[in-house]
Amino acid sequence: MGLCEIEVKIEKIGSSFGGGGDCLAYGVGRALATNGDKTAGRSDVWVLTVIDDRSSSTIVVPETACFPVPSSLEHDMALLAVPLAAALNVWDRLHLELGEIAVYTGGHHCSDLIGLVAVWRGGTPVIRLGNGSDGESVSVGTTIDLSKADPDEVLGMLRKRVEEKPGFAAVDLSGRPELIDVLFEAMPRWGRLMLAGRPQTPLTVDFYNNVHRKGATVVCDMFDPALLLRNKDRAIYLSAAFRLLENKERAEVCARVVRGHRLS
Amino acid sequence: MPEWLIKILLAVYTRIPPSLRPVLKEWFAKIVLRVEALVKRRQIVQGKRIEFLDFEIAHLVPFELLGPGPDEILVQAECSLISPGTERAVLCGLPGARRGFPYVPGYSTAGRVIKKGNAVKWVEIGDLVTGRIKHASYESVAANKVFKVPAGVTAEEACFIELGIIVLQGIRKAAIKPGEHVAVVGQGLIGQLANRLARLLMPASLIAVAPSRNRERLALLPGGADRYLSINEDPACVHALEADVVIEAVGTPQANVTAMHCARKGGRVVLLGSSRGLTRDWDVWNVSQKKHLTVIGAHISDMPEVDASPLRWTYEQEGRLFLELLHEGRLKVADLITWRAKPEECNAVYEVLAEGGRDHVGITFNWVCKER
Repeated sequence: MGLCEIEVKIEKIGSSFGGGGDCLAYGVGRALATNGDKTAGRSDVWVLTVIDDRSSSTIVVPETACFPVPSSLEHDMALLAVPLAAALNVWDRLHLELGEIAVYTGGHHCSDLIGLVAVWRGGTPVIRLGNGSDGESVSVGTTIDLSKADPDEVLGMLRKRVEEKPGFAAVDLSGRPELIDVLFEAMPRWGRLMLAGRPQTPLTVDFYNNVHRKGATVVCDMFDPALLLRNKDRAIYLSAAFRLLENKERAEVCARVVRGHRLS
Repeated sequence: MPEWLIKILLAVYTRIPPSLRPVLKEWFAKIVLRVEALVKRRQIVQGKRIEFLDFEIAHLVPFELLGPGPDEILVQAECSLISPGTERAVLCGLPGARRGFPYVPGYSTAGRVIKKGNAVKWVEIGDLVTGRIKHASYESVAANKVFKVPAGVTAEEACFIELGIIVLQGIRKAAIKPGEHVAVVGQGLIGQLANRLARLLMPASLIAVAPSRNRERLALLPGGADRYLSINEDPACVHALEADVVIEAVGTPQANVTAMHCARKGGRVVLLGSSRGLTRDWDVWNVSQKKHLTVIGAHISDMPEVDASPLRWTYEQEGRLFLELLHEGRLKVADLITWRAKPEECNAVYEVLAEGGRDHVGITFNWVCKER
């Protein structure tokens, strides 16, 4: 074990939900030993960490890659803090403001968590674009069901909602070209759009009318909660997520909206 | 004019043989102008202006206009600057720029105030002003829509106003920080102005990127870029750039993707050029998402009408800043002019522009011929 490293016995592993193909994993475990001061000789300290080696239940990680889990938080909830922190980061990057329209697409395990966080940030309304079959949709806002309308109808409905609002922020998690197209077209002046799903084919985009002339900002990224643990501001977002999850009611709502997350 | 009268006139007009229509139309416009002058008690001014008569056909033609109203000034043009992207797009009927003919181009002119309305207080006869004025010898404009040119700034410099504002709002959105690596893709007039304005923000390096080396000399003038890269010579050069900020100033759909290639992981790409048309086959995953790029649109119509906020100033605020930078000598633009044309040469000028502009960057029309 090198300087400033911690030996962690992993107890629970969270899934990487990203489409990046990097299969990053993270987990919650008990800090067993360290050469730093913080956890030396203590076994009751739980940490959240990135897992590079999934073959062993005990791993050694740099101290900087570990985040102490508040003692008040159950370990399942600590795992949930990662996608929640990532969702907080998404809307932060899009500068979603109180009263702005927030749009997100289905197609990702964490889609509705992102919708939920949009509500918490004051998005009004929060609109979900997705198929009815996308899975359990949380009642965080209006859903425009794509299985019941063609893209032109969806665009018409969305534009009507957008017209009434002074601000627009949207996240695509689906990577579906027809949905991305709807978002580009519906985006008003000064709109912000994050492309966070992985498209399977190259896109055709009217940058002139939909980005240049609208003064829009397009953030190109991938939504993978595990990547948040490598973000330079991870401590800020994780702390916020931990604080939010310390409220049991709020934590249960979060757990419900993340598909695949089960409370033990 | 009441609608019933318009209907009657239209019915008469459609019965007139087409060969006679242009002459009648011209006479009708003259009569209407004279009636308007009588009613409003305003003078009629004779001038000349450039008109696009059809695709790729430009002429200098005589025209009449009303003298200034109470809130207006009559400006005698000294120098007007061609906006190459927009004017070429209209002249050639490019997508997104279709206009009816005849069309009067131009929106960046400096000239002297030779008459003013009673309500105009803040400019005097003889003052040099600049603003959104067409390529015309005279124009009556609202006094509050032009900028008074500070002492020491020439008409030739001041006529860059509109292009300067266009580029300033893009540079502002780029939020360049001292020490960052900046690349400017495209070295036409917008690109060269972007070099100069980005340079003011002390980047660690400023790289000019263009297909050919035709505009290299101008790009590397003092106040411009540090290095010049030709994509034709080395198409892969863009991948090695790793710029923190990339300003796209070409104005073609494919250039948007080229600009993204120039950016580092986590970089910002500002779309400043008017890339009319669709960008096809954008491999968003490999080109943009894996690099966590932020793409920012920057068009003059995005500017807020009132008030300013960080990264978004109004048209007036950017205009005043542009003139201040010229006044303080922090910005130089006159050396970007590669063709000082007479208005009578407009046909030749626009022929060159329609072909792509050759090596030209700044093209001005000088309306006041001084004896030398």
